[in-house]
Amino acid sequence: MPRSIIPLLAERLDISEEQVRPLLTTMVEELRQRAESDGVQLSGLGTFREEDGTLTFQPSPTLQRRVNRSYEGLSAESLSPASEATPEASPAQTPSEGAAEPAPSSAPEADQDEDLAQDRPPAQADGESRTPDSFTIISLVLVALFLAGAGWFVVNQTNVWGPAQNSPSPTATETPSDQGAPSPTLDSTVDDSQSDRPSPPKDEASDVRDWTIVVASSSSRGGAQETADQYASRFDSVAVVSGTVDNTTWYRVTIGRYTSESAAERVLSERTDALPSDAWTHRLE
Amino acid sequence: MESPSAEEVIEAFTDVVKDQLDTGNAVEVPGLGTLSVEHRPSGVQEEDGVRRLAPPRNEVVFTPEQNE
Repeated sequence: MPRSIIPLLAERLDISEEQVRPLLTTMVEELRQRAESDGVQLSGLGTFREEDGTLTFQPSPTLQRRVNRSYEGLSAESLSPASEATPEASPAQTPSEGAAEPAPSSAPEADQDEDLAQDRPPAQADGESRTPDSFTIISLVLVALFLAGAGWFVVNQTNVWGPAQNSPSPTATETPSDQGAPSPTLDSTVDDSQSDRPSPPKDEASDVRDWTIVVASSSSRGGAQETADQYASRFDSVAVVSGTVDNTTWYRVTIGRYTSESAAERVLSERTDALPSDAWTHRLE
Repeated sequence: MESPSAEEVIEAFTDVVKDQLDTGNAVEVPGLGTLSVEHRPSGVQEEDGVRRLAPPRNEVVFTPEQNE
């Protein structure tokens, strides 16, 4: 329900309503006359103008801001993609025309964001490809530990460390009666002229542990195995190796692996109490 | 009490109208019309294929007096 301005003016001017009425009437008549010609502007309020026989009022920007004080700072939000965004309208500046008038703000920012967005994804992708995650690191560590363990197992299985090392003992048996038998060499590389006695000294040391001590020789694998089993309780690295001499396969019981003949000879002389007197050194091939 | 001048009347007139509109009240000016404030809620506007959500706002409305 609109309030009449008469009592309000009377209170403001501190006069009676009866005094206000003629003053207000005079002012309105003057206002309408000027509105018919060029329009009349009241400072801080707006402009009255008569257009096509109808009196109109255009509020001043000051009045528009005043009645929109609670919405100050709000602007139109674009609901379209950022690339299609157009300048937004400020309600405080153009309340009557809505969002039709442009306001310089979001469009340049949207373009800038787009540029940044185009630059960003590749950088992130590079970073992800260069930085391994914790799962990858743990997996690599586990693989490394597994390979180290497997390598240690293989080294022990091949008896590289000689008789003093802890290594699984192959089968062992001794048949002393065979000790005088012809001496076969591994993989039939020794001809008949060679004896079972130690071959000529070869002092050149190498990293390859291809020298061993033969404590027994048998034409049967079972006999050699029995002898190997006996030596296995006293030596760590006992093995049965096969070789062919004169088309006959011989099975030798060997103890230890050494890098040189002198090393094998030294052990042979130092362990006379545990080795048979006719034990000999031999180079595996 | 002296009668106020024309300038004082106009100044009082504008002040009263602004104060009333500021508080959301409509003001009726005899022989002229009614000034009021209407609220326009937030809504979606579409222009040139671009849809925007306009914020709410208040709008000053003048309704001329229908006389004669």
